[in-house]
Amino acid sequence: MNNNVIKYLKPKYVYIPLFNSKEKYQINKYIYKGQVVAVKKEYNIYSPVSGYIKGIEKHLNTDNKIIRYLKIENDYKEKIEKYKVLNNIYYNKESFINTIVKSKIIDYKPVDIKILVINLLTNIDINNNIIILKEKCSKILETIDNINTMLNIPTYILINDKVNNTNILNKYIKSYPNIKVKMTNIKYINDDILVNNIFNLNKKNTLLLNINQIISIDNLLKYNFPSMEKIITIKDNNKELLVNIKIGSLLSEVLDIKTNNNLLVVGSLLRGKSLQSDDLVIDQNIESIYIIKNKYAKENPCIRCGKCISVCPYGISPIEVRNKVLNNKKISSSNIDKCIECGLCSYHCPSKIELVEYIKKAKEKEYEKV
Amino acid sequence: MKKFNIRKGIFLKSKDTIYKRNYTLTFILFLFLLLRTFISIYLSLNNKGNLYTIFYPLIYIIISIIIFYNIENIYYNLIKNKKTSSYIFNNIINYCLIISLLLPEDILIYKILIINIISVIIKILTKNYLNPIVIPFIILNINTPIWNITNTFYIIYLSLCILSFIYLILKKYIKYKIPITYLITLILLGIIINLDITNYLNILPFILLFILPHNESTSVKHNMQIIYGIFASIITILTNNIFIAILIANIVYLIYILIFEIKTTNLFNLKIEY
Repeated sequence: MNNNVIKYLKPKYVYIPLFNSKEKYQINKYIYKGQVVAVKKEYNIYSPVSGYIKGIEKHLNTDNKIIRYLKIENDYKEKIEKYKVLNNIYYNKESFINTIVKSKIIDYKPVDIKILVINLLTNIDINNNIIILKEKCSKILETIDNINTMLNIPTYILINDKVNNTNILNKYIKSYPNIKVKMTNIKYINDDILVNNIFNLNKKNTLLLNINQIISIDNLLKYNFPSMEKIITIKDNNKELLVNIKIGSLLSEVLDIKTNNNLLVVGSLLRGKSLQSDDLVIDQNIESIYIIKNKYAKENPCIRCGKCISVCPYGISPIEVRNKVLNNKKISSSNIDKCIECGLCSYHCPSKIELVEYIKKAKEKEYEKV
Repeated sequence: MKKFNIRKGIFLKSKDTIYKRNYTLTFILFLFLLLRTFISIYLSLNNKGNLYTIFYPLIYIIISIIIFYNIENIYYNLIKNKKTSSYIFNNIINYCLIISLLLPEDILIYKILIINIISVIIKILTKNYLNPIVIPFIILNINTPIWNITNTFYIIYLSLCILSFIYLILKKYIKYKIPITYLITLILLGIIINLDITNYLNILPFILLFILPHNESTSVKHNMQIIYGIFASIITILTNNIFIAILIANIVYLIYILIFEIKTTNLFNLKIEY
């Protein structure tokens, strides 16, 4: 794996998603970096660069939908509003949580937080943690320590073998006695399962952060707006790149992807989506992009081995759901509602049946009834 | 802007395939075949057998493969769902090997033909919900020990069974709860009702390994697998015939899934592709 991080931090244009169709924008108006340019319900959307508004364009988002974006021309000056640099804000527990929710650094609002957990686990499709950690270990630990001081709760860094073998943390961790490193063999599937299995707590009582979120919080503490760049993994068949990219950049401007029988997948390989074009605007939620050959294993008849049940983290019987979908029989909604669509059943199925798709179908049927 | 194809589903699949599973089982069965041949050669050299005993499992396997392959091929052509030769072969080879290893050496040739024909027809008609191996053995009343093996060979045979069982558990290719619960229940019942279970010792390890935990005719749920093992064990004691016990357990499970799991009354209406 290539350990170098390629930087793409000076895009000519950046694109901000617009949610309010009535809002009007003045062409050529100057925008500062970190200025709030759009608002969606409870969170703000900040400008990743300083520059001039050039109009509204339609591009693809990660849900495969074409939506409106505000186009900002980068002046490459990265100008920040003066008051943001001069006025350092001191956060308490509540204001800190509110700010990270409002800045969309986390997508849930924790209540009565009992622990802070930093997820550095690597998995079959999440493996950029080690490289980012190698690059920015001391800075990351410093930020974690700052958050720990603010929240005053037990703090754990979760690692598995791969991270441990690199010995990156050992170098610096002794300087931070409040941060504990916890080794686990649990495979990362879902935040809820992770927190529940290791700490026996609900995700809502935990502040669970990943490495990109820590970097974002570091920026938030310094400038009062989250980091406008992130490190994402781009895997083109066998080549793997780590790209430090400006949020709001257009993927087609970053990479020249060959279309020949390729699929463009955003998100993980188990839960991600295949996109219709490379006209994608990079947003905060993107962790990885895969360009893979459009080859898929042929479905074979079910051999009723029960592996899908064994691997399901919620003990659902995906094959039973599939049989009921095929036979148009009623499915208990309490059963399928538990499914988090982690894709483990489809991944492990020796007959290569797309079981998750049947569960999605069953869910759609249920929603139609409601 | 470049356009890409869209595909639903997941984009990463494990290397565990039904082909790999079946051929792993084939490899293990092949080891049993080698052991059987070795025993035959040994007996032949000690004037306790003849040349025919060395080659009979091979002859049975060839007959079995020819019958299974052709009937399956005809079936797939009839339902206009053409399958490749490698698919059909992978699908049938283990049944052929198990039947051939189970048949006694003094069986008449017409019986071999009948067994294989019944077996493949049941496999097709019941969509594998009934174990295709047990029914012909019940119909023709064949319940003999697998081979006449002496103490030394029995230890090798038993060791091979145990090692294969451990290997299949490690690979997660076997529903191990069924044979384990079956064996424990059988031993406990044997102790309680003072039953001599030594009659089963010869054939039992092979059946526990290859017939009882048959994937398609047993439940996918862990609790049901335990119940299945206990139930099959009780029926074995009651009927004194393992094949009948497996068949009854299969039928009970089939009724259960038709009524409670899929809620249909007709097996043939099940839209589960075969």
